[in-house]
Formats: sequence, structure tokens, C-alpha cells
Amino acid sequence: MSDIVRRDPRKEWIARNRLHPEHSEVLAELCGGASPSEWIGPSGLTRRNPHAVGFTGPNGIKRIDRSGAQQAATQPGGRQAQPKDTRRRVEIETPHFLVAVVPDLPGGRLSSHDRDVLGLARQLADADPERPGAVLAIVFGAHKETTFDEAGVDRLLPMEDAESSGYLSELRIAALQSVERELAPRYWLLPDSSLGGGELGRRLAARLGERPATQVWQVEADVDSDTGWRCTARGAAGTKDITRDLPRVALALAECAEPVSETRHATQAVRLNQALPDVLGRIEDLGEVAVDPASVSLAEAEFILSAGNGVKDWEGYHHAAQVLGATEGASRVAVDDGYMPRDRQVGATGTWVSARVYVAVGISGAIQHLQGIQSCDKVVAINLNEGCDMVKRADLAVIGDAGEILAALVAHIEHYREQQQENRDAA
Amino acid sequence: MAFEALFQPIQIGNQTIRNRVVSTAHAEVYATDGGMTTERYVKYYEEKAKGGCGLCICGGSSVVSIDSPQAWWSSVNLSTDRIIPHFQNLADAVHKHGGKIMIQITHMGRRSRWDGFDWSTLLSPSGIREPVHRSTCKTIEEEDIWRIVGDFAQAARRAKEGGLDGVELSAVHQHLIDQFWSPRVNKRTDEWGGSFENRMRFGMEVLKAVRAEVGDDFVVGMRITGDEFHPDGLTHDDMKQIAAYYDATGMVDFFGVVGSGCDTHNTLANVIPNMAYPPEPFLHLAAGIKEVVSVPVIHAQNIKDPNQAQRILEGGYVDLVGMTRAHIADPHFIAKIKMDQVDQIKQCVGANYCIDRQYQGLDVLCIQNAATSREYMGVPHIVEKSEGPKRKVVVVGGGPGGMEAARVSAERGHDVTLFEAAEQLGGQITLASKAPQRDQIAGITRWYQLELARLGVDQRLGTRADEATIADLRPDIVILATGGQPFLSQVPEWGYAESREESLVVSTWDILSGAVEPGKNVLIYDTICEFAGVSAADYLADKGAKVEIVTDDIKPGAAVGGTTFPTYYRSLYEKEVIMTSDLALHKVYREGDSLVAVLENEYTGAQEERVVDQIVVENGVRPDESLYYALKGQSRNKGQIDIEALYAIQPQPCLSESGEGFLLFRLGDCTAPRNTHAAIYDALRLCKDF
Amino acid sequence: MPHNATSSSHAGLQVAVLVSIGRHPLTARARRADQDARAVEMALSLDDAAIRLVHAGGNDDDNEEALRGYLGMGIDEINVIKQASNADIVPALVTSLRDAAPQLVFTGSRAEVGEGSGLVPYLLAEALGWPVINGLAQVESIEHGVATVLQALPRGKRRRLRVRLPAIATVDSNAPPARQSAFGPARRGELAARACSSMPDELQAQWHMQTARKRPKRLKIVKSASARDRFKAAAAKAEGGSGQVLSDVSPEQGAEAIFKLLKEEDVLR
Repeated sequence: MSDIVRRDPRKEWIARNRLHPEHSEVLAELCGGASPSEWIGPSGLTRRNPHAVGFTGPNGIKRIDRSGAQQAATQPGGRQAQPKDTRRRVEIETPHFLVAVVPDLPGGRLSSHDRDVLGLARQLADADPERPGAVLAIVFGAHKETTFDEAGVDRLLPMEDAESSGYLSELRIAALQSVERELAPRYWLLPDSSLGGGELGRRLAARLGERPATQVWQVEADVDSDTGWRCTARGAAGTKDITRDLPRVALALAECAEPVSETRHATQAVRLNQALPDVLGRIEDLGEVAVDPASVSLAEAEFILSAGNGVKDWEGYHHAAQVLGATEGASRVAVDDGYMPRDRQVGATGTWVSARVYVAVGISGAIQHLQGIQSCDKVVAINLNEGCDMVKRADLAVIGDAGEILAALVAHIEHYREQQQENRDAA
Repeated sequence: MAFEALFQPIQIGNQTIRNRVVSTAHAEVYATDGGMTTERYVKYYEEKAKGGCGLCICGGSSVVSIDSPQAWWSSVNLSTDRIIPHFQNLADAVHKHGGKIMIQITHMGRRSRWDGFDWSTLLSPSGIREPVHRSTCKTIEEEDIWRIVGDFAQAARRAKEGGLDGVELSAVHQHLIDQFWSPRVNKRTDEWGGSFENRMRFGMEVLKAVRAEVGDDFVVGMRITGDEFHPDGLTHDDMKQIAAYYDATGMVDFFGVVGSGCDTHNTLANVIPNMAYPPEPFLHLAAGIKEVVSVPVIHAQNIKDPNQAQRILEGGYVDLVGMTRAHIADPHFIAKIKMDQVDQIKQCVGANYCIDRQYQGLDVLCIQNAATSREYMGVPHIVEKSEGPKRKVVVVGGGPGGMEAARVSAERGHDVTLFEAAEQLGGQITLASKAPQRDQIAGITRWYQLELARLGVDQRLGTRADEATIADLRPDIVILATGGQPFLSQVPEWGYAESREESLVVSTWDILSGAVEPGKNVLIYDTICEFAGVSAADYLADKGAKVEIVTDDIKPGAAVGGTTFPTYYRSLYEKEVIMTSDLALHKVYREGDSLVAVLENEYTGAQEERVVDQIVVENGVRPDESLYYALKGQSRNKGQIDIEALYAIQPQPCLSESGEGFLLFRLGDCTAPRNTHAAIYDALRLCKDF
Repeated sequence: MPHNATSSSHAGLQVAVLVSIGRHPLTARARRADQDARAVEMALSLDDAAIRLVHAGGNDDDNEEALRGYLGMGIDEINVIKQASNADIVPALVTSLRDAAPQLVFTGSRAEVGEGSGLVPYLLAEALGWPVINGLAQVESIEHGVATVLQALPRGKRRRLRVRLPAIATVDSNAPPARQSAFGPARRGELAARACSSMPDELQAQWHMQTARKRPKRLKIVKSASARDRFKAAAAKAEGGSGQVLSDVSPEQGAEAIFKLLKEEDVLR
């Protein structure tokens, strides 16, 4: 059918004229599919459809015009348009200097810690609008991040690791040394995380012969400082604050600065000219070792399989947790009903969790439960009720019987592992 | 012991508070006899102190001047020395148990009513009307200002002479001090308005006068907002500046921080967040104030659980947590944590029955704890074991009345069997919890489930009791709490029929229980205007239905309380639910595949129609009396409750009379439809002497 | 924790443990440093290892008490390299380690007093040209100059590494806790002091140190100038918004989708 609007100006005129004898009939006819708000029904009584009152006016806001001038052909007022992205686009063509950041990218995405450090980098880069710096993010290996621009990255330097994964500090330090040689950033900022930036940054500082500031949680402009910046860092196992000039290399704590929220940046890719040198590694990574997920504290666990009211087959659930290698969590109801111990309860009334992946099995998502999982990256809901709040919160929701879906998941994983074993045996 | 952070003592001014948990100032509506803190008031706070609460700040909006009317809300009257001996009783009662007690003092300015009692002329900086109380006022004059400053100082003196541990100046909830602060209501151009210093002046003069009167050895705190959330009001940054300004005087011993202003219905609902809100929604505002002040910061608002309180205190966001409704629901909150009985804490569910009564000038009561504030009558928080004969008690119906009857009877040491026809306990609470944003109400059932299991009550779920099953148990006492059914048959023209296929209308219960699939284009006719109608509307709209809710009353949800209807309206308007008033459902008929509702305007008699695919009627509950009349004749007391004894909290005389057969009582909606509190209160006062 | 390092072929393994003066977090009294004590414990868990404890620093009375805390773990002697209290101890430690040439050096990941930057092991490794690993949780075996160890990762995970000796390894609080310090051995053990020239840490002299300010974790960031937006941000419940919903799928199809996500997120072992 054609999309072209057909119009009958005479009828539209009648529709606008409430005093016209044919007004109601014409209005009803014109509106046909588009729901008139008022007409005379076969019983002779006025019929009203209050949902159809009004139309979207020229400002994009619902308008009601009792004069009858309502444009019958227009759709009744719907929800307002989504607010536009108002963030300012920033492009720094010729930076006066670079601030290098090496984000941790746990799970292949910027962590909130990474974003805070990028926020700090912006603070340094943007201080003098006359002489802007650019934030250079150096990213190792494969990643899934798509929002470097929103996080404040002007230049992105992807570094392919020689190996796809694992413990590659020695290689990475050599790579960062190449960055130092070719691009000579004015500052190096890394997240002071327990592995990742904390380690890499210390290695880098030792290699570059720079004395870094570690555990930095605040950077302020200071005209008396040689660098123009003063930083405050934790010392003495977190019991002291050390205030000092900001050095070239700084390892910063989470919440050292506000993450970028009001601008978007170019994230222009850059490459090094020289190939990376070969490094003789003296540390070999033999891979991760399976640990008992039950030994991992709920607050720290990376992967949680959480059970609620909708779980009926508890044996099946525990088996699934074991096969998945997930730490067990529970809703308050599951604990109240005695199926799970109190120390497994997730939520504002139990434990706040920080899992990268949180699978909620048969949990409808009481508000205090949702509060407790707000820092989880990916939420998967398995639930019978499509309308429940957990499904609304989830990144992936599967509607159906929890027991059957878990059993299918277990079978799938077992099959996958068998195949992998076969492949290994064959190789 | 777990929850260490809660049990760290803290110094506020010259007082050491034994733990970090505060019952913050709220209007109790218990100060009788011209605003005196008489027995009911004292016992209410004594119970909290007995239960271990660290600090009670009593007397929300206690007045310092006679032109800040006190009688509407029975708030405490500090404008006369007559209060001092009453305070002495109050202070002794709390101190006896190791607690501390302070009082909030205020002048409410324009935030009150003028149309009664002394017919006061209300005051505010620029004479601007207050919307929530619909109150008009005069522009305050310099003479009024100095009189009120002096009244604050005298009120503080009375609190000190009465032996209380401190006062909290209310500069929140749009009382007079923050009326001067807020550019929304202070439009003055003299030295009391305009610049920051000028707007601060009244509060500063009050603070100086109070401090001069009471000296350094008395706690003076301030309760402030963290952000008014009004476009023309005080922002969070403004409030940081204000807090730092007063803090710098060194005259303030603590700050209490409340998120949101409250001079509109919608913002008022924020102040006492109901069950629709996330936990501690405004903590970030209190934490922001803590950044800029040097004295302890107290924050309340939706902190109800010990784990939550522990997490907040451990995080260092604030120094003390206000758990006010938590203590209304269970004044023994702290004691139960100490005794490792966390699962026995009756946790506040955010139904806001307490505060919604208060805004109507009714005494604060808890929806689920009938003993709260009735301590003076002898209604017990802890039901003692009976020394009399052990009885066989059969309770029929697992709604709130039945659950409470079973709990209290079991606490008395009797052998209790509870029948519930549904597969789970809760009765209408279960239905209520199915609506969006209302799931927390099931917390009432949760507590009973845990308690009934702990007490070893024999629960027969999914079992409908009849004469025979009851007789088999050879009961001494039978309690019927069988509730009722939706009353759809009242108007034959609605076309209700027992068979779902034939019936033209369905009930809100059918919708909320999921027994009937939601329609696509639904008309809800709600003549009751309580929770069920708006809950069903929210539920249907949430499932994607187009919904119009029609009432013959003044507005849908008209009987839902002041801090609760706004969260419904936020949700309903967001989902484009149409609310129509003043139309009665006259008739329903079928037309093809559609249903037609004929509505009649209450005031003109004019009729109009709606064409929809589903019509839901909310017309309240009809008691289910069948079992009662089947048993009545066999019972010793003919089913009668001695209401004189019941109202006087005395044992039923028939309990001590001997005779053949069982005693029969009925509770809750199977007698007459009332509410959750009514059912629980009747159950408690009836069964506590079994 | 039981140690299960295979002890076959590292008889006579030379292990140095660098220990420092700690400070009790509540009472502020000098004590053995917790992580360093765990490093000593780690060394003691190795069979047939010759363990040498080294401390570089000032040596007042308080410090002696604290150092004896290590002796009380069953250690006969600590080599104390005397340094001025403002000294940079790295040069002295480099000299000491180069002379003693141990195969393994254990130490805590950071000090409990002073800067506590956790840099020392990296600076030593850089100066000596040895590999360094952090977060050592367990030594599994040492054979032919190669150690196989477990490294503690965040979120309670473990990784197996093979490292060529000589090497430096740091331990943090993920390592097994140290045994109690016994009074007798603590008294009997010896503090063998040796003077060594001090390099003053000049940079640190310019810093300003004070008691750490409490830093509550960030709650919500609500920047909006619109009062309604600030109110909504506070009062609305958390929702993800735009997730994928699979209804009307078989359990297998649902499981397949979940499996795919778990693979993508790399949480399946």
C-alpha cells in the first residue's frame, strides 16, 4: 500500500468545524483507523476514546485543541521523542602534548576505574585550552570496547599482543618503551589496580627510570609545582596522604577523577612506525587454574549464578553452578525459604556484588535485589514472567522454565567441553 | 557480633551515643492535652530505648510559638513552661534504658493550616501560599522575626530544663528557617532576603539565640535538605554552601540531611520514600553534605535493614543512620541484632500507613505492628507464654488477621493449626504485591512465614477447612479469618456472572492474580479509590494495555495516602493511563467482540460510552460468611466478641467460663471489609489473652 | 594451608626474604609487617631451603621489637643493613642481593610505613636484571632452575606461571597467613647488624605527609542542572533498558543464547 497521505480538504474543513451538521460523522469517518476521540455510537450516546484525545503539535509536544482544529490525520500524541545526545564533540588536531593511559580493560571493556583514569587524563590534557593535549589510550590485545570516544580518548593505539592472552608483562613493557621512544608522552597514567595497571605501571616506571606517584586519588592545579600539578596519594598502607608534585608517571586509584560525561572524542587510531622488538620472556604463563567458586567471596565473584523463588529443582541448580564454575548467590526469598544460607543473599539487604556476569534464575528482581547488582556488567535473567523487573534489567532474558533451561545449558556446556577435549586429543 | 559498624559509639556535642542508629524526628500525633508529651508518648519512646535504639529525636515539627499551630497534628508544644515536667518523664524513661533523647523544634511558618483552633495568621518571608496544605499566609514583619527568634531560645531552654539531651532545629520540609533560605519562597529585598548572607540571617539569629540560651553543654543540631528538587529551589550545591556556612560557626553539633523539598505532593512523597523507591535513594545528598561539614551527619530515608545500615556506615557516607520507620515496625530492632535474631526483625515494608495517617492528622500506627504506640494500653510487643491451660486453636484463613492470630496464639504456647485455601500465606497481601512497585508489601507475609515456622504452627496450605475438618481437630478455639470476595454482583447491570465466559466484568483480583489475561484496551471502574484500582491499572498498563481508570469519586486513587498516590501517578501518567472522575458505571453490554461501558455523569446525569475489550470493576470486598454461620450455632459463645473487653485490651470473659464446645471468633474482612492494620490489631488484642 | 611444593631437587635452595617494619593499623604500634611475614611463611613452606632474612633501615628500639616478630617464626637471624632513617634503601639492597646471590627473593608487595609505593621489588629486579612476579600465592615446584608457582588474580582466581630463577616474587594478603610469632625464639634469635652507606631520599623530603582523609566511595553522579532530572535520577529504580528478551524459545535455544554470552564474556573455564 502506498504511504502517500490521501486528503479530502472539504472533509477536513468539516472536521474542524464543530458546528457543521456532518461534523461527527465526518470526524468518525476521517479518523477511521486513527481512533477518533469522540463520536456518536449506534445507541445514540456519545462514545469517547480518551486515549485518542490530542495530537502531536509542532513542538513535538502533545496538544489538545478544543476548537476542533485538531488535525484528524495526525497521530494522537505519543510519547515524547528521546532526548538528543547533547554531548559536545571534541577533535584535537594538533595536540601540544600527549597524556598516555594504559587501561586495564578487564573482560575486554573499560572498567569504571579505567574511565576515572581517563577522566584524570582529560583534566591534564584540557587544562590550557590554548595548548591542548591529547589523551592517548594504549590498548593491548583484543577488546570489546566501543565507547572509547565517550570515555575521553583522542588517540587510540592498538597493540597486538604476540600471544592472544595471558601474562605478558615483559612484552608489554617493551611495547610501552617503544611508545615512549616514538611518541614521548608528557604523562603516563595507569589505574593502580592489583594486577594490570598497578603492576604494569610499576614495571614501566622502573624501566623508564621515573619515580612514579602511586595510589594517587586527587590531582589539582598548583602554580608552585614544577609540573603545574600537585597530587595527593595514599601511602603507608593507606593510612597516610602524601601531597607532592605530580610526576611523569602516576598510578591512580579508582575515583581519582570524574569520568568523562559531557564530551565525545575523536578516538583516532595511531600506529607505531617501528616494529616491536623481540623479547625473551623469562615468565611463562601456563594458564588459569580452576578454583572452587564456593571459596570466592560473593562480593568479589566474577561470575554468579543466583537462585530465587522460581527455582524448584535445587539439585539441578547446584549441579549447574558446579558445571558453570559459577559462585552461588540467592534472592532473599530463597534464603528465607531455607534453600540457601543467609551469607549467599544478594542485594541491598544482603551482599552487594560486582560480578561481570550475573545470571538470575527465577528472580523477579525486588528493588533491593536490583540495587545490589547495579555494578554487574552483564545480567542474564531466566524467568517465567516476561514482565518482571529482572527481565527489564537484564541484557539477555530467556523466558521459560528455569529447571529445563539450566539443564539444557549444562548439557550444552558438557557437550562443548567434550568436543574441546576431542579436539585436543586429536591435535 | 556481626554489624560492628552499627555498634560503634559516637560523640555528638557533649553526648555519647551508644550506637549509630537513630529514630529521627517524625510527627507522632500523640502529644495530647495541648501538646504535652503524656503517657502514650513517653511509652512509645521508652519502647525504642528499651529495644536498644541509640538516639531518639522525638517531636517532628514541635512548635516554639503559638502562631505555629500545633493542634492539627497533636505535635509537641514548646511555647510554654508547662512542657518541662512532661519532658522530665520522657527523658527519664529513655535514659533509664541507656538511650538518648532530643527533640526537633521549629516554627512552621506558612506550612500549616490556619482554619481552626486559634485561627492563627500563618507567616512566611514573602507571603507566598503553600500548596500541600493549601495555606495562605502573611508576609512576616521584623517584629515577628525577633519574637520567633526569642521563642526558639526559650523552647531550647525548656528542652534542656526538662532533661532532654539536645534539640534539632528544623530547617527542612519548608519550615520557617528554610523558607528564608529558599529563593522559591523568599523574595524579600530587605536584609532578610536576596543575598546569601541575608537569606541565612534568620537561621543564624535563631542559632545564635539558642546557643546563647543553652550554653555549650547541650546538643544543638540542624536538619536540612540535601536538594529541594524544585527548579526555583535550593540545589545540592546551594545546600553544601549553607551547611558549610553554619558549620563554620562551630555552634552546630550535628546535621541531619533529608533528600528533597516537600511543598508539592510529588516532592513530599520523596521525603518518606515508600516501597516504590530504591533503598537509600538520597544517600548521595547526605554524603555530599558530610564532605563539607566537620560534625556528625545523620541520614534517614529508606534505611530498613541491618545489612544495609552496616554497608552505609562502613562506607563512611554518613555517621549515623536514621531508621525511623524501621523502629515503628519493630522497636526492638537493635536488641534483635544483638541477640542474633535478625530474621525475627519485623521489617518495615514501606507501606507508609504510618505517615499517610499522620498527614491526615491521625495518630501514627504501623500497618503490621499493632502494638506500636499502644504500649500504654498494654498491647504487647512481646507476647508472653500463657500460664493457663494449653488450648487447641484452629485458625482458618492465612491473610494478615489469620497469620497474626496464629502467631499470637502460638506465642501463648497453644497448639495452633492454620488453614489456608491458597498454596501460600498472605491473603490479599499476596494480590497487592503483584502490582508494579508494590512487591515489597509481601514483606509482611515474609515475617509471618518465618515466625510461624519458628513457632511450629501446623500450617495446612492449599487446604480449605470445612465443618468436618475443624471438628476433627477438637478445637477449644476457632478463629475465622476467611476474608471475602470481590463484590461485583451489587449492580446487576454490570453483567457480572459466576462463569467467566458469561461475565461481562472481571475484578481487580482476577487481574492481579493472573487468573484473567490482561486485555488490550481496558476500562477500570473503581468506586473504592483505594490501592486495588490503581494497582490493577498500573499492572495492566505495565503489560501493554491501554487503560482508562474511571471513578464516580473525585479522583482515582483518592483514598490512597499522601505519600503513596504520587508514586502511582508517576507510574500511571508515564504509561499514559487516563484518569477520569465523576462518572459512575451505569451498565455494560456486549457489541460484537467488544464490550461497551455506559457511564453516567454524577452531576448532570449525561451518559456516554466506552468501547473496550475488558472491563475491570473494583467495588471492594463482600465478607465470606458461610463458614461462620455454619459454625456459629455450635459454638459456646455464638461467635460473639465482647467488644467492651476487646476495646479495653482485656481478656474475653468467655475464656474463663467453662462449658462444652469451642469458642468461635471472626476477624478481618470476613466480618466487615476494613484494612490490614484492623485485621492485625483485632487479632492481637483478641488472642493475646488466650 | 598445606603446602605441596615438590621438594625433589632444590636442596640447598637459597631464598632471601626482605622484611620491613610494619605498623598496626589501629594501635599504630610497630610490628612485623603482615605481607612480609607472609613472605617469610612462604619461604618456610619450601623444603630444604636456606632462608636468609634481610632488613634495611633504621634500627631503634621499636624496630628491634618488630624485627624480633620475624625471628619468632623460627628464624635464627636477620641481617640488618643499617641505614639512615631518611635513606633510599634500594641501592643497599641491590648490593646485598648481588653479593649473596640467592635464587629466590620473597617480599611483601608494599611497606606499611613511609611511601609504601610497592616499587622496591621492581626497582631491585630492574637493577639486578631478574624477573619479578607479584601476588605469589603458592610455590608448586622448583626444578632445574625453574619455579612453577601460582599467582593470585583479582576475584579470587589463580594463574600458574613458570619463572626462570633467579627471580623476585612479592606476596600480598592473598598468600597464606603467617604463623604466630613465638616469644622464646623471638628472644633467642639474632639481629646481625651491618653498617652500610646511606643514600638519602631527597625527593621524599619535599613531600607533605598527613593522616589519610576518609574517602567514601562514589555514590551517584547526578550533574544535571534540571531539578526534575536530579530527582528522577535519585528516585528511579535501576534498569538496564534495552536487553534482548527471548520468549517462545525452546530451553535448548535459550541455553544456546546464554552459552554464547558466557563465552563472549569469557567466564567459562
